[in-house]
Amino acid sequence: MTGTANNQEAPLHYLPLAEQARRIRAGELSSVALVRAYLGRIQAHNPQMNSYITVDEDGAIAAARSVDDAIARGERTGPLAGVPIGAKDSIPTKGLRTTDNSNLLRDWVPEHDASAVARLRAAGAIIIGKTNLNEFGWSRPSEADLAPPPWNPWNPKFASVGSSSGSGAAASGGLASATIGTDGGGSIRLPGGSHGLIGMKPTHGLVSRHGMDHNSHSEISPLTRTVEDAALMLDALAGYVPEDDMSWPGKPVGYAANLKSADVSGWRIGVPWTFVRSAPNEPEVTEAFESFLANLEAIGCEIVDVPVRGLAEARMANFLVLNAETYQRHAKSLGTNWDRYGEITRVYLLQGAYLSAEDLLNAAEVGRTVRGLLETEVFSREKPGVRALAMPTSPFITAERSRRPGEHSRGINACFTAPFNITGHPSASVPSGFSESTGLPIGSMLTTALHDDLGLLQLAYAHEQVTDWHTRHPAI
Amino acid sequence: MENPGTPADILRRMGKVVPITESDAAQLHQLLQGVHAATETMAKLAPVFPGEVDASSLSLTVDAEEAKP
Repeated sequence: MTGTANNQEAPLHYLPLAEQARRIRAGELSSVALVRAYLGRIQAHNPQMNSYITVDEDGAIAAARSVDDAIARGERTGPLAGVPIGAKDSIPTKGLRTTDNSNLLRDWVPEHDASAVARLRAAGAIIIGKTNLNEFGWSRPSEADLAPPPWNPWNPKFASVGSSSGSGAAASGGLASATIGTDGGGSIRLPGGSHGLIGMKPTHGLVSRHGMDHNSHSEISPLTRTVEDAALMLDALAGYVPEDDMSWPGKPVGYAANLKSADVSGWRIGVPWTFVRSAPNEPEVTEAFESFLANLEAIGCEIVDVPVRGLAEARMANFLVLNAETYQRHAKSLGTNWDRYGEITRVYLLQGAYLSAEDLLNAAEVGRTVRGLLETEVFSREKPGVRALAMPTSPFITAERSRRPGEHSRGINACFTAPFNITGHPSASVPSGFSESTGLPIGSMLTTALHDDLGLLQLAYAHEQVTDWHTRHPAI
Repeated sequence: MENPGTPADILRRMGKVVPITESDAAQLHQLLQGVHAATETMAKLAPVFPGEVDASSLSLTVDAEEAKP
C-alpha cells in the first residue's frame, strides 16, 4: 500500500473539513492559511496528477480574506466558512471558466453559478478550482482531451475512476477540503470507492441541478474524506429551488446535527446475493465486501439475503435515458462542431441518435417499476423490509479494468451503482478496504429508501467508527 | 430501436449528419450492439395496455438473466 496510516493528527490538508471549519470559526486557523496550504499542494502536485483543470488562486485568496475579516469582526459565518472546495468542471461557476473538459467549451466563462455552487458559497465555502472529468462526464477519457486524465493519488500508476475523476483525486490527495461532482450512473460513488472517500449520491431532487444542463437522473453530490464532512456538505447543498421542476419541495433534515444520534443496532441490511454474485467481481472486491459486512454486523446490524428483481434492467434503462438526453443536448452541435469533440466522446454521444421516443418511454417505465419494487418490497416500512441494501461499489478495482470496451459499453462497471440513478434512491460508497495488488482503496455501497438520506449517513457514520480507512491518506 | 445494421450501414446513415469515419462507425457499431440489446429488453417488458410491467419477469442477475432466488 502506498498510503499511510495516521496514528497522529493528520496534517492540515488531510484534516476533516469539519475540523478545519471548526478551527476557522474559533479563530484557531485562518482561511487564508488553509487556502494557501492547498494552493501550494496544487502547485506541487497538479502538474503530475491533473486533478484540476482550472485553479482560481486570486479568487480563492480574496474569498478567504473576506471570511477571515468577517470572523475578526465577530460576524456570524456559515458552517463551511473558509474551507476550499473543488467543483467538477461541468458545474457552472460565475466568472470562472467551466470547460466540461472539452475543446468546445475551453473558453466558456459562465455568468451565473449553478444553484449548488451558490448554496456552497452561501454556506461560506470557497471554490478553489474546477476539477477534471471525462469529457462531458461521458465516454472514456483520452490523452487528447482538453486536459489529460487525472491519476489516482493512492498509486499514480493507475488512472482515476470517473467521471468525477478529478474530484476524487483532489479530495483524496489533499488538494481540497472536499469536492463536488455529479453522479448519473455512478460517477461519484465509483471514484469514491477507488479513492477511499465517501461518495454520496443524494435522493433525486434533494440537491438541485438548476443552472446546469438538464439530466433526469444525475445528482450533484459531495466527495469527502469522512462521513461527517459528507453530512455538512449535504446540509449546504440540499434545498428546494422553485425554478427547477425536479427539485424536491420538502424540508431537508439537519444531516450533520442528527448524524451521531442513531443507534443502528438491529437495523436489517439486505444483500441481494444472487445479483452480487452474478457480477464479475475481482477477488479483492469480494474480500473487502465481506469485511464490510462483518463490520456492519459488529455494530449490531443484521445481514439478510434479499432477492431484488430488476437491477440489471434498471441499469440498462438508466443508460438508455442518459444516451437519449446527451444526444438531444449535443445533436445540433455535433453536426457543426464534430472536430472539436473528443474522438471517443463524439462516438459515445451518437448512441442516442438511434433511440426512438418509444425506447425512451419504455426505459422510463421500467425505471418506475423498479423504483416501486424497491420502495414497496425492499425498503418497506410495513412488511419486514430492510433499512439499507449493501453491495460492492464496483466489480473492478482499477479504472483501466473498468474501462475495457466490451464491459464498459454494457455498463458492467456501473452494475451496482446505475440502477439507483433511475430509481432515485440515496446511495453512498464508503471505504471498506484496500487492494494489496494495486494499493488502491476499495469501496462498498449502501443504499436506503427514497429520502432516507439521513439514515444512509447515520449507518455510514456508525460503520466508520469501527474502521480506520478514513484516517489513511495517500503518501503525497 | 431498429437494428443499426453493419458498420457500413452506420457510416451511411450517420454520414448524413456528421463527418463520421469508418473507424468511428466501427466503434459506434460496437456500442450500439449494447444499446440495441437494452431496447429489446425494455420492449419485451413493456406492458400491453392497460397492463403494467410484470415485475415477476424482471431478472435477478447482472446480465439480466433469470435466476432462482
